[in-house]
Amino acid sequence: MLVVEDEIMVAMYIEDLLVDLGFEVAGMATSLDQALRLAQESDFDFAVLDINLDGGLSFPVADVLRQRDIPFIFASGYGVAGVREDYRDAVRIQKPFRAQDLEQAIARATK
Amino acid sequence: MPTLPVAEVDDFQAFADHLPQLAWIATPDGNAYWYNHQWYQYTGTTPEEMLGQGWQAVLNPAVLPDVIERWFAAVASGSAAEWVFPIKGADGVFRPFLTRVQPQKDQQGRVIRWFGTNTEISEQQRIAELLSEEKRHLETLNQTMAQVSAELDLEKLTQTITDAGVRLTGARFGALFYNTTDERGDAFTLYTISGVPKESFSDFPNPRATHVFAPTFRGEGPVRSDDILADPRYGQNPPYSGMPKGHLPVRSYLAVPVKSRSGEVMGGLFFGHPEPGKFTARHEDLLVGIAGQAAIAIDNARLFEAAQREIAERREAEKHRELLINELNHRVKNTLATVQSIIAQTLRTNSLEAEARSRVDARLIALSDAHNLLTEHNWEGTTLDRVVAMALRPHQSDRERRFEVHGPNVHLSPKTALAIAMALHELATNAIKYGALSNDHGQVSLHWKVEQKNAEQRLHMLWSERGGPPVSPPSRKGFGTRLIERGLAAELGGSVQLSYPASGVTCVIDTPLPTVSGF
Repeated sequence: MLVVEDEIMVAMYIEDLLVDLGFEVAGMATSLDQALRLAQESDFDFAVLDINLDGGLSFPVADVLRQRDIPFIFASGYGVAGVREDYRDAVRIQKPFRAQDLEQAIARATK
Repeated sequence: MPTLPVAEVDDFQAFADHLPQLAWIATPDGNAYWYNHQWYQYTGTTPEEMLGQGWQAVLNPAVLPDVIERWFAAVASGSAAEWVFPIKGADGVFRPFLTRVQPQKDQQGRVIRWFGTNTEISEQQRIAELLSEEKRHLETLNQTMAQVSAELDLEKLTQTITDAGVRLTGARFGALFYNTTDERGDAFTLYTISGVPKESFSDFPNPRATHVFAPTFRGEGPVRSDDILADPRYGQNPPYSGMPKGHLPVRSYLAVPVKSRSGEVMGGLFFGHPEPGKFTARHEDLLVGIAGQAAIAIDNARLFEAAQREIAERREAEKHRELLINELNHRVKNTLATVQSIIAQTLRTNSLEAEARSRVDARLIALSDAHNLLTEHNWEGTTLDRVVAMALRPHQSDRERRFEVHGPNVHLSPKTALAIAMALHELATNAIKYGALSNDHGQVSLHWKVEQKNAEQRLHMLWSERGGPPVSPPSRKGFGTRLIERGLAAELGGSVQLSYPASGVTCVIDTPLPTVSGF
């Protein structure tokens, strides 16, 4: 699992939720640069992406993931209006969310 | 040939001489042998000069062949005819005449004589010309009105008006100077030129309130001069005392002010001609009409522009408001997620319910306090000493002398401020629980400095405890420790080193100071 989230406390929370759900967190990124590097280089089979990364947007990371055929979900404080046109169909959960919301979203994205 | 009694011949002669027209009689084959008094008087000729084809002398040689041809064609066909040609008066001036010829016939239908009349039609022609000119003027006025009332572009409509003015007055060139304002509301003067390229004017300054121009700019009324060079108002003003070198040649001059309904002088219409005496009172009237049109049109265009500007500003404000609300919502959602994380993390590692609740409260209050600091400055950041004071305040009370704080004033971005506030809160909580502040004589010192490294500024902070119970590294890392080590490092993009020597906990923070922006 790759977690991309610029609010460290939220990132830690997602990390704990994922561990509780039985996943292993392979990497965590809090900035766009870091996320891009991890998305391109590291080994993982799923990603949770925040959209707004301290002012930057995480869509380039999603592009890399799509190219690598790695499923992902968006976890964001923005509504659908904050999602780039070509990712309107992507699985998205809005913060704050519960453990079961995250679990269901992962299930939908990997179906 | 029938004859008249002598008395009747005299009566006819008297009657014919009193006709206002020129009249004459010709033989059946077209030779005029008698003319009335008017003929001799107008042409200034004598009966002797009129013998035979003498009449040809008072016609313009250019039209004579055509007149002769038409006349003998009428004679040959024996039918009435009429046509117009000029006849020379005694003063040498040719005037237009309508000539009518009518044959008198006997009972067998043979022509016995021709009666001819020539009626001067100068006045009719002049009126017809005036009418047609008036028609042209009305058409121009109508067209101008239609065009400018449909036009809201100031540049286009002033061009239409200036062009119309040139057409109506027969001026060689014309200009419309008008005052306007830019987006910031600053006034300036623009102009439109007609009849000559704009470059012919671009070298000259705008007209100043000289004796010639002032009445127009003050809105006093039209100024018309048959010859501006001979006008007493002209040439009175330095530096030129006349027209600047290279100015268009102006003799005839006509100018009218353009005034709005409120009486404000918006500008002026100026027309010129290189020959004197070209502009009449009629032209002046027409221009006053055009100036009225111009005023209404410029007023409309200004109102339209102002309305457009306001609409654009409102749209911009609306867009900005939407952006702010969106951003606020995003921030609230993230804050709630953070709160949720704090609660979950706290409950996860603390089994005692009451203590868990108080730690949650303390962390939420620390977060909330940090937000308060930032809200005070519209989320543009705050200063490090304020963050430190705020973070340590709940732990000071009677222990005031147990913190030793020292460092320069440093501006922090909102994100950095929040991260440091939360880290200090965790360090202080830990010190109270296990460290230097858990007994009654331990001390905490917090020092920081800023180093300039190339273009980058770095903040060094040192938290060090002493005088507390002997320290041993924690068996497992709680939320506070994780927050300090990982969280702070990740949020700040710097390094955080937490160590546990027996003498007391230390924490070294080394972070770049970002320029203040964003969240």
